Amino acid sequence: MSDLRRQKVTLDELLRLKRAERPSVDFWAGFERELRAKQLAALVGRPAWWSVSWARVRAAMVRVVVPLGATAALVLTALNFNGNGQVVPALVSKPAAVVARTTANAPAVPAAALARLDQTEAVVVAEPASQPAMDFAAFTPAPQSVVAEPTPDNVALAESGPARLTITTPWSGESGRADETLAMAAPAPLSEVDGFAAAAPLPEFTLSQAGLTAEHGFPVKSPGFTSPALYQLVAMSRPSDGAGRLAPVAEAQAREHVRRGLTEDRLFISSRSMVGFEGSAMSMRF
Amino acid sequence: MNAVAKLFAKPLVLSPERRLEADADQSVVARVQAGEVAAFDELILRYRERIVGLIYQMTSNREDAADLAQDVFIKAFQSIRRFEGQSSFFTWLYRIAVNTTLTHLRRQRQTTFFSLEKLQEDGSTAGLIARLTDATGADREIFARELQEKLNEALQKLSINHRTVITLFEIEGLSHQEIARIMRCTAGTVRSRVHYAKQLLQAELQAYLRS
Repeated sequence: MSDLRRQKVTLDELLRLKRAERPSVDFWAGFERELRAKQLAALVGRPAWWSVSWARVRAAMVRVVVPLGATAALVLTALNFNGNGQVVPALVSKPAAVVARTTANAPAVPAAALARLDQTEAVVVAEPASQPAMDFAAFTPAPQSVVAEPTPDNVALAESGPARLTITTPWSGESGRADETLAMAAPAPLSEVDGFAAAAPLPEFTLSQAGLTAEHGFPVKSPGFTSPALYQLVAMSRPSDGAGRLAPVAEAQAREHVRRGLTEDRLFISSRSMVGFEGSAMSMRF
Repeated sequence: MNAVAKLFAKPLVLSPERRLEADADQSVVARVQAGEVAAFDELILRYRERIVGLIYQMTSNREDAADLAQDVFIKAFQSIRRFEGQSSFFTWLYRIAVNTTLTHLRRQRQTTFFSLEKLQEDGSTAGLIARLTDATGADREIFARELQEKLNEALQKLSINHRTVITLFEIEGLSHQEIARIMRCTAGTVRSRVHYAKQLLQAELQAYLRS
């Protein structure tokens, strides 16, 4: 410092010294190498920002859309099985024992019982596909298992007193006899089959409760018919449990449902599939 | 038409050496524009020292100078198809270098540490240093470094525009007209900035300068 202070210089001389500053040879070797790498990268070219952004959006969408699509498919499937019978009424209107097997609480029904059920032509079924004029929604909240064709015979039967409906079982392939009532249909065979004991007397279920009124071709004042066999199946205990008695809780539930005018399919609400999302995971419960 | 537009409308008066250099550049540029990518290496070799030196004088940092100079050559390489020859390649390349460096400096105003280049003593520089000090050997090295540090500190105290002008004029040796083209201002503005920058430097280095 002292030397510099002692030897005064001009500004031009100092600036001339600046021109003498030169990088070393080693510097140029590294410079060349890095420049080549950058030049190569520039030749290859970088994708446009919008192209990169769109790719990121698409990747994010795939992560969301696939689970949503799968969920939608599962939910639709679940609704077809458990939910509104308007979608697939044939499934809901199968014999009560068959329907009951799909529920978690129902006991397994022996094959023999199913066979006997078929023979009795117990369940009232109409072919939905063959009856486009009959809007199922018009019967809401009628039980979807009861779909009657308002044929002259049906109307006559309905007006004559007992609810004697024309019944058709797709699996039997022939028209049922008009003199068989729903009340007679379901519970009786099961009570005699393979140790299944009949439950308590079935609660009354009227056409008005089913939403079948005069505008649907049925008189409002129609005699009651027994509720579907489903209540009994749900309430019935396994033969191995001993008495084959109607469980008190189940009986109370069945009575409560009838009291409120709930229909068969409303019973399934409790067992309807539940879809849950937790973070990136999805769970379904039937 | 404003003053800058008038300036660009006039043909640039070049020295004979610069004219030869510009002609040589133009033929190489034409080859690169025709698709001969390797010809660009000639331009890199021809200008890399000047570009690195310019950026180093403006940033006072060797690493930044290397990075920015590489970026300058890459930008020039990518844009050379758009170079129409209205100015010389030298002016065009310097303009890219100055703009790149100014952008860098405006982003990193707080940079305070410097890295010094080694003084390459040629005849005049060695004589100058010898005249400034009687010391030899290690003392001489110390003296040179001290001088460099003081100069860099004083330059970094200038504004970016004044530093650029003084670098281009005093260190790189460009004319006022060339600097005006590079910085897109008038030659009068360049002269004014050069004058003001030198005043500031003298004030800053007063303790070391002969009055």
